[in-house]
Amino acid sequence: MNSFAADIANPLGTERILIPDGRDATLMSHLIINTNSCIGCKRCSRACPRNNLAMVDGRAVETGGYCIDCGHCIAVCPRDSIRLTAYPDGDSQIRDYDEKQVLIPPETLLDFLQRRRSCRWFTDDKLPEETFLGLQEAAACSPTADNAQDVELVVLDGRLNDFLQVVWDIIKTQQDQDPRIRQFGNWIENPASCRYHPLLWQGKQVLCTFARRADDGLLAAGRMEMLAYSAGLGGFYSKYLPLADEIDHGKVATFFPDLDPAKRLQAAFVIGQPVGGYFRRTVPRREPPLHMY
Amino acid sequence: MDTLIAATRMELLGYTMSLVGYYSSFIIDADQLDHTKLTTFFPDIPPTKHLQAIYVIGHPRISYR
Repeated sequence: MNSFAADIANPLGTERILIPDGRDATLMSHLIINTNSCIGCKRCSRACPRNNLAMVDGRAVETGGYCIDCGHCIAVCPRDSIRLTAYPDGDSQIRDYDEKQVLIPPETLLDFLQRRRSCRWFTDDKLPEETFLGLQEAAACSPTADNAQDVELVVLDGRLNDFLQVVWDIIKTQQDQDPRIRQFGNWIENPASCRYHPLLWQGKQVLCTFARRADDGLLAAGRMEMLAYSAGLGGFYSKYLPLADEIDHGKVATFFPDLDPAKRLQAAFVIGQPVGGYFRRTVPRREPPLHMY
Repeated sequence: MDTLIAATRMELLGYTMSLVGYYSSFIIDADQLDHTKLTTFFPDIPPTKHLQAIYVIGHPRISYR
């Protein structure tokens, strides 16, 4: 039994607690509130984006306000009195921190972003599974609509060439509009005819992000990409793999029978150990127009 | 894809400046449902560009522990 569980012999007891509209707070199911330690400070109810917490007799109770399990109530509670029923083993992921401590100064992050380059030249070493498990943690920290947390990751490695054949079958219809797709066709016919792979360059592994919504998938992909760069890895986003999904999602989904077919391939990041030592300076970029409305 | 990669960078830079926020899915849904109507509100922006990310941003009132 963890420390939180040990402290709550009976979270809400047998006593019925009625919220102002008459509903029974003991029947709500998203939160476990330690009424022994709750001091009724209202921080949880102020933080809750769904109005799912109220104070009754000086302690926090659920109101049934469409909780999305975001955990903001856990994060603000000064007495560590709240847990989510959705995460019965989640205590190991809860840790205190000092919000005022500056982890990354803005100028450091901006410098990091300015130095970042899309990397297409890699060593022959493939990344081990542990590396992808580390990147998976960054995806887990990513926001999703209604906190759905429905992002799924796929590492294309041993079956990468099989999948590229599927991609070619789909995107070849567009080879007249895109010379890169034509080059890809040449590579499919005769790999020796190309100096490097037209879609992967020297890449050997692709980290794919699937999600129902494009924003959920890409926000997670962006976090994994930045964590990868901070770990000295490199890569680039391929537009052609998501394009294949856009053109014929059914065919792409067939290749991944373990995935929910409602989830689309939103991002494909070709990743690896970069051949180092050749990026020496930042390069000019156009600033995107900023309109104020 | 391009937009959301940029949005992530701005969001994270905002956090380092102690600015916080959240992504709104509903306003993006509005663009998906009726892009033409939405673009008429933004006459300076080429109508070929879609609204891909909405980040509600500001100074935080609540401190997290």
